[in-house]
Amino acid sequence: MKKSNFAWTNYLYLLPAVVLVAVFFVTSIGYTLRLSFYEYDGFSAMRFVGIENYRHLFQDANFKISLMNTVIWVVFSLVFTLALPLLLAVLIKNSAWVGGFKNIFYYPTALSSTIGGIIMVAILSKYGIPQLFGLLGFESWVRDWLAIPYVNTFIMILMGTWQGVGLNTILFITGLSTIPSSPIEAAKIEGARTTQLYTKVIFPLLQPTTVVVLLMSLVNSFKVFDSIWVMTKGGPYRTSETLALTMYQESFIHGKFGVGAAVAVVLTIMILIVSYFNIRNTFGDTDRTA
Amino acid sequence: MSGKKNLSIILFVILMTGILAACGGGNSSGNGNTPNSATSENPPAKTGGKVEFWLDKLGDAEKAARLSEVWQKDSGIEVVFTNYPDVAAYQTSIQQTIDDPGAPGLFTWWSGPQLETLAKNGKLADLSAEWDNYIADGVAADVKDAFTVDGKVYAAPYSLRYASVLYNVKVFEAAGVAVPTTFEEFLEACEKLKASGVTPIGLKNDSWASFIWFQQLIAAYDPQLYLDLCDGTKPYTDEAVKEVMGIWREMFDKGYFGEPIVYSDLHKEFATGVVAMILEDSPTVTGLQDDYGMEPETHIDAFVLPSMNDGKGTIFFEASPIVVTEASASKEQALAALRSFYKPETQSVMVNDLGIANVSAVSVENQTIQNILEMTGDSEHYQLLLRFYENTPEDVRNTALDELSRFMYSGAAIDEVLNNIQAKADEVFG
Amino acid sequence: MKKASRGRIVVNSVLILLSIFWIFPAVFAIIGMFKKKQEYNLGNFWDLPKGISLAENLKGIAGTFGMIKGMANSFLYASVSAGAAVIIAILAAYAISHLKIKRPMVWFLFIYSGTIFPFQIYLIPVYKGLTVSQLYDTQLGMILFYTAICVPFCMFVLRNYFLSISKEICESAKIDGCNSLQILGHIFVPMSTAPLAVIFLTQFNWVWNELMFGLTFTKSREIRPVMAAITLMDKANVPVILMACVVASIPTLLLFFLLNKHFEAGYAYQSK
Repeated sequence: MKKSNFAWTNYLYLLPAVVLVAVFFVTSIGYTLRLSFYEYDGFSAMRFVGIENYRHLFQDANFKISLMNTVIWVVFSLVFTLALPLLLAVLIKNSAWVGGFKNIFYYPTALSSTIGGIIMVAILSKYGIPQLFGLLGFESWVRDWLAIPYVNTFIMILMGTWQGVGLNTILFITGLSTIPSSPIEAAKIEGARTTQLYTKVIFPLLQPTTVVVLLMSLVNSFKVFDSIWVMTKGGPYRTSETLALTMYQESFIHGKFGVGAAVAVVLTIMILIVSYFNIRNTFGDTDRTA
Repeated sequence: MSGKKNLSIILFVILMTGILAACGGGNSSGNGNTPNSATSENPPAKTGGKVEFWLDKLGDAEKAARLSEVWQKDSGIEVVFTNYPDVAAYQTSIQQTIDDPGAPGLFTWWSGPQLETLAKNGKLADLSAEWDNYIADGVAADVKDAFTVDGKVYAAPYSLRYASVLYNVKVFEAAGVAVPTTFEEFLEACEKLKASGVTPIGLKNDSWASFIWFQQLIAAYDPQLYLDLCDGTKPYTDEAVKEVMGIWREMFDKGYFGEPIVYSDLHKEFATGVVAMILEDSPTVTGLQDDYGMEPETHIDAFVLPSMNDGKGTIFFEASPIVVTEASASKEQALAALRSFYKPETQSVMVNDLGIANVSAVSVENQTIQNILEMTGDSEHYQLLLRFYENTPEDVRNTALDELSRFMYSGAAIDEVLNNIQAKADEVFG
Repeated sequence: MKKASRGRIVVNSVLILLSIFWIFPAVFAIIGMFKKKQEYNLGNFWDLPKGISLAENLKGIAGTFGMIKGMANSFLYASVSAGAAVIIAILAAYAISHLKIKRPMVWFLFIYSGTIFPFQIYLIPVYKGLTVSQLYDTQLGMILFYTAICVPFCMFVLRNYFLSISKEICESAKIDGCNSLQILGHIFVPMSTAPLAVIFLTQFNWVWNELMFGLTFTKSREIRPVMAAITLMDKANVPVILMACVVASIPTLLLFFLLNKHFEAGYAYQSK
């Protein structure tokens, strides 16, 4: 009797978070799911069309390009926002100027994507870096890099890392600093080499941080929007669109809120699947016994 | 440890409060002697209440403040501007408030299908009877057509923008090129400019901008063909369209067009004489003067692309509507304010600050804009047509924009491009 | 010993090289913000400013844009929302990681779901909700929304961190007669200085820099956040915009420097 009473109060801890999320977001998700089965321009009456919006999507060439671009962003983000910050964190921890380097790699994260965008567009347009290359003799590089279809996606991914690595680097540095020191000491005494020390001892101990960084990077790269919107608006001719941009484009530019909602649902299902496999093992026993 | 943390948080808060207090103090003392206080010194002539005006177009708060001030003087109604520099924020806000008494009395919108949607759903006040006032103040009656849905007029122009070829006067002089009066002369001018080492025509990298040269060349070939394409009378696969696309392609092949670049770079290239011509709307002239120091007639001037067969030149216009919300509690104030929008003082701010010329009877400081305006009024030599973007069904337009971009950026084959657009047109026009 | 120092040289030089790339855009912005409008538009970006137009550009910021009011608003939204979100997330993460509840993974996914949707889909439903509840265009409405949107990320980070705190400590505290709230307050929170500092900073940062919701859920200048004010500046006057952005970034950078040393606060409590 006493025990079950104790368990009931445990749910009070969850209450504020659950209420906020339910009120603001779960309702939105429900609304969007419903909307994805309707034709709606924002002002006229909604018309039920069944799975027509989804069928339309999967026949749309632009949607396929967008899906492809999203996958490209996700795959490359693993390198640039997971591997690079981990490397940076390890390097910074072993450098002669920990505080300084940390500030340098973090500061872009503190800037808004608006200013990041202004700077990036200026730097990548014809009279920014490309012109510098021209002075060095690479005449054919002197063009607006963001205006080159398909190539611009890779350029944006690269530039995105400028604002993207700061937080993850800090998370890894925090992780590195907070792992218990005894296993490392033990390994050192046993004479482990530096690389072994990292691969066998430190990285496994970093796993809680890695799970967070990996999943957040994945989710963020799936729904990347701001930096693309600022730099290319998904153009030229929708070649650099990702799903989040397609969703925005269909809903707010073309006024097809049903189609936009369908894109959002597809995107969410993709993220949910990836998230589920990523965190499933961190729940392990607790969930099975419950 | 946690004590230290608390300390730094307290420090941070104190610092922030300090900054804010210092800035706030500086600001309020600054306000005392800025022209802003002029409004309180000169109260409006009539006191006619207040109306909210939402807009997504005017992303410069300083200019908005000036406009609001004169408008209030002209109308006696306080027009409160709210800017939404983000499309999603704007769409959402309009969509969610439009049936509400608290909706803004006035807001800007997009003509074409978007205006139709609002009008057909009864969200907008019928302005048909109001238009006599606007025309009396000098708004061109032709513009009405762009805002007419099922025989009723649902909007007034917030901005009329006229597209013409802007050219760098110094570059033309240096290359020994005169303003062309026939299409052949235009092509010769391109050739000469190219020979003199400049890019004849600059293009901006904007995914929607691909129709600009398309519509202009089609209209130069035959204005009727343009209208027939827009309403689906003629197919995009028509031989005449193929011929125009062939001419366009040839211009690309001969190097008359530069690569599409971001508009700020394009303006820079135009101002510094790397590019000789751009096909742009009248407000661009104001921007080029203010931001790039191009003085009217000395550095920049305008002409209309000549017809290919000695017909009239075509000036394409864009008409952004301003509409009155049917459900808004301040509908009457909105109608009254709009009646004063075309008064000379308000419109002189529009034209001199923003380069937007809505009425004929307005004193324009910028002589190049004045020249463009004169051409729009010269019906003997020029005709006005609503631009492609708002003149054809949305789905056809969107496909056409993508396909024409592929033609421009990646050299996609003419037949393929036109077939793809026509496939969409078949679907839409049935 | 020799080998180790050579390693350090490599590490430092790689970092210095990368640092140059990272600093470059800032140099670009700082050179740019001292220029005049036409000078910036027409010149090369690496040209040094001809004269310092700092005062003139600063005056541009203090003009009609409502930037100062915007900064005050953003400070309120960012500090209160980030703080509230951190507290709410501590409770939720603690329950999910250490308390006996049924199906922790379901609860986790439920809260976490707040981060997976593209944010644009929240615009219309939340707008509706705020209007109905009279919270549209109010500071309270903004704070509530920003708090809600910050909770999932905070919960996610903290839950993973709490997992690494061993159950034995809790058990022994329980035997000492601590209830679950006391365990949270006396053991978990003090041990989590580093992640708490990180998530507070990131959420403060996020709210401060957020634009879309700030524009959509407000209309009056008294309520709008700082980023909305910046977007209302003359787009062609890049130097003033750059200056405004630099000024607007000061609080987030300042907060970073202040919290900086806590990022490496470790398991000091555990080893005691």
